[in-house]
Amino acid sequence: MSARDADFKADLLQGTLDLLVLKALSAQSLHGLGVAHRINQITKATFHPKPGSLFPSLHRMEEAGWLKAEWGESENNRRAKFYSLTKAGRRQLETETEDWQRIALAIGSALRAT
Amino acid sequence: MKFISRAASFFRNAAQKQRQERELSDELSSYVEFSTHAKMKEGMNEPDARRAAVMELGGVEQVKEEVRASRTGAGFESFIMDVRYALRSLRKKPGFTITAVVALALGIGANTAIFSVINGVLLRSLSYPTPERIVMLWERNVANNRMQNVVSPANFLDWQKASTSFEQMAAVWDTRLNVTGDGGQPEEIEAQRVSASFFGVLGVQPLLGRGFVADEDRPGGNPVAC
Repeated sequence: MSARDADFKADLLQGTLDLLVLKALSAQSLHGLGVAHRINQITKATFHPKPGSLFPSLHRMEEAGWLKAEWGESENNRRAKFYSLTKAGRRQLETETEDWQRIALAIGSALRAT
Repeated sequence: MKFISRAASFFRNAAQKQRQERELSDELSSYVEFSTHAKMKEGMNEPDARRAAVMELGGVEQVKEEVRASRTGAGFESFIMDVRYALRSLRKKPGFTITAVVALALGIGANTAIFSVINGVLLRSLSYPTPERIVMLWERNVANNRMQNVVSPANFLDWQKASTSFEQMAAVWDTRLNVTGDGGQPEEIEAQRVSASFFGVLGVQPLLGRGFVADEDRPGGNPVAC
């Protein structure tokens, strides 16, 4: 990955990381690295969020009441902090999804305009 | 987030800060652990995998700082930290500190002095009903080029009679007098001798008693105490 690619991804993630995290947690509860891997997977390896932006996002949304966190055992028997969506988090995911689709549609039609 | 829950999490943050810090350390070290495992599964040997995982984290303290900054109350905390840092730096460089303090002291002092003058002279008006219409008149001594010559009483009476630009005119004469009370120590006070229309010019009445009238303001008129 070139430096320019890295910048591009970091910039793009600024606004969309919270949404991707919510989406990643919509199916199951995951720890930090799990969320990063899941996002990498569902974005077809386009995004791999760095811990420096991933953890602030997780903590911010936990504080906002969209995520809840529990300490549990991981697959290799190590203590890990698992995040999952709350009811408010699911509502937030719906709202942000709608907002995102509206934006994507608008930008798409704007770019196709002649 | 509503204000109450914001305030609540502010206090929660302050109280549980230590526990949060410990949990954050645990969380980040388990991240490195998992990441190392994942990389070993991809075929890296353990030291390489661990190094790559630590690199990926990009500095534990930086990540912690980012997380702290995302919490409520982070603004206040970092403000306190900034203040502490400032105090430490100032203590470390006394020369710079003294220069800065002296510069500030001089600046504030000069400003205060200038403002006091401007406030007294320009901003705060006299406490009379129409201060903007009260003026002082002087004679000019052309021969000696003195702008504020003492007005001769006859000139004042002429001005008073002939001038149409002023509603009223009063003469004042600065002096010093001695006041003696009931057997107490006499005291020298600043005083003014004034003509009858003085209180009328200012548009005020004495607090006690009455001012004098025109009939009392002539040679041989009835003297009154006021």
